Order: sequence, then structure tokens, then C-alpha cells
Amino acid sequence: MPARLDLQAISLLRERDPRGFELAYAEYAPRLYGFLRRLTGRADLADDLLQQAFLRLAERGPELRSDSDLRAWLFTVARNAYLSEVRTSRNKQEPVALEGLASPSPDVEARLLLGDVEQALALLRLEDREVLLLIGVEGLAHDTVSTLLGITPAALRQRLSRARSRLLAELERAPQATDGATPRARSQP
Amino acid sequence: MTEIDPVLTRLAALANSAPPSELSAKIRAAATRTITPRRVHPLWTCAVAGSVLSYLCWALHFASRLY
Repeated sequence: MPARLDLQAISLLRERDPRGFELAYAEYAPRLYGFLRRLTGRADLADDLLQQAFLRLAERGPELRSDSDLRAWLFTVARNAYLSEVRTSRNKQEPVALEGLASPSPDVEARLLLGDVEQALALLRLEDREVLLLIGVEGLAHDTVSTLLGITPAALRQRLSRARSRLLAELERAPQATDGATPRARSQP
Repeated sequence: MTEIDPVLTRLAALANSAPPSELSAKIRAAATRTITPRRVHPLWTCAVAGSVLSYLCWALHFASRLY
């Protein structure tokens, strides 16, 4: 069910009223930008992808269905643009080993509260990172995310569980936050 | 799922930063140009109407001289 803001923004966009774009931009640009910064790990690429997604909205907005979910639409466009960019630049990431995915120790749970999550997220593979960002950070519904990623709800649950375990594993591997050390990204796109 | 997941809770608490203001201004300007239909300058409308009218007058004059 699309939000009231979506309905209003799309209604204005369909009338070619720029206020519809302003509404959508004010609401979703910070979220999409945050998602892209964390997904890509690069400010310049996040800028470029944000621009691509919103300019696509300006082009296609007047043709959008009135019941479209704008947030899901924007995230899908941005994610596809990023995947296309990755394919073009052939920036493949090394898979993260699955060992050591046991339950988190109390130490890790404590560090979750210390704010190491951003750094641990950056160390994850793209497919793990994106599922955690979409569900954990953005709070998108599972069915929306499974459509967005093009996978079944069961596969999404599995991927989320794996991604969560890998995030915890990264937190266990990373240097202690209290040391002031910054973990190095093994592979960044 | 009623159980509170500490990882997802922590992820949900991560803050988003707004895009740079110059970038936002650039995107907004480009989007407005794309969304707003292009307006034809009134002079072009006058020029087209004038040329159509001239042609019709000439055609009427030409036809009247035939008979």
C-alpha cells in the first residue's frame, strides 16, 4: 500500500507539476543517498546514481501508475543503475568466507551498541550489504524487497539470515572499537 | 516476527545524511526542466498563424483570377 505522500507526489507528477518531484525528493533523497553511500562505499558514485534515479523519476513520473510505491521504485532504479555500473567497470567483490558464523558473543553484542556497524557493513559482499540496508536500515517490507531483488520471499529470508550472520562475523573479526582502529575493506566496488 | 533482532534494530538506528546541496540544486533544476512542458514563444504562434493566413489569402486571390 503506497504512502499518502506517494499518492500526492505521483498525482502531481502525472499532471507534470514539479511540486510532485519536490515532494518525492524531499522525502526520499536522504534515504536513497544514505543507501547508495553505504552500498557503493563511494561518494562520487552515490552522487551519480542519486542523480540518475531522480532524473529517471522526472522522465517517467508522468507515466507512473497512481498506486506505485515510489520508494521501492526509486530504490529499484538506483540499485539497477549500480549493478549496471559494477558490470561495466568489472568491479567484482571477493566472496566472504562462511566460517565462524556462530552466535554472537556478548562482546559483539556490546560493540553493536558502540557503532561499528557502518564499518562492518562496508566489509560485506554486495548481496549481503544490500539486503541488510533495504530491510534493516530502510525498513522496507519483505515482499517489497523480494520483488526489488527479484528473488522469492523464502530466498530473501535465507539471504537475510546469512547476511546478518556475516555482519556479526565481521564485527567479531574487526579490531576493537575502543582501539580507535579502522577495519580495512577487503574488497570495495 | 515479534522477537526484537538487535542487529536489525541497530541497523535501523543508522542515520542518513542529506545529499550535498549543490547536487540537490543540480538535480532539482534538471528535473524541473524535464517535467515542465516546453512553452512555445508567442512570436512563433503569431508567425505560424500569419503564414497560414497569407497562404489562404493568396490561394483565394489566385482561385478568383481563374474564373
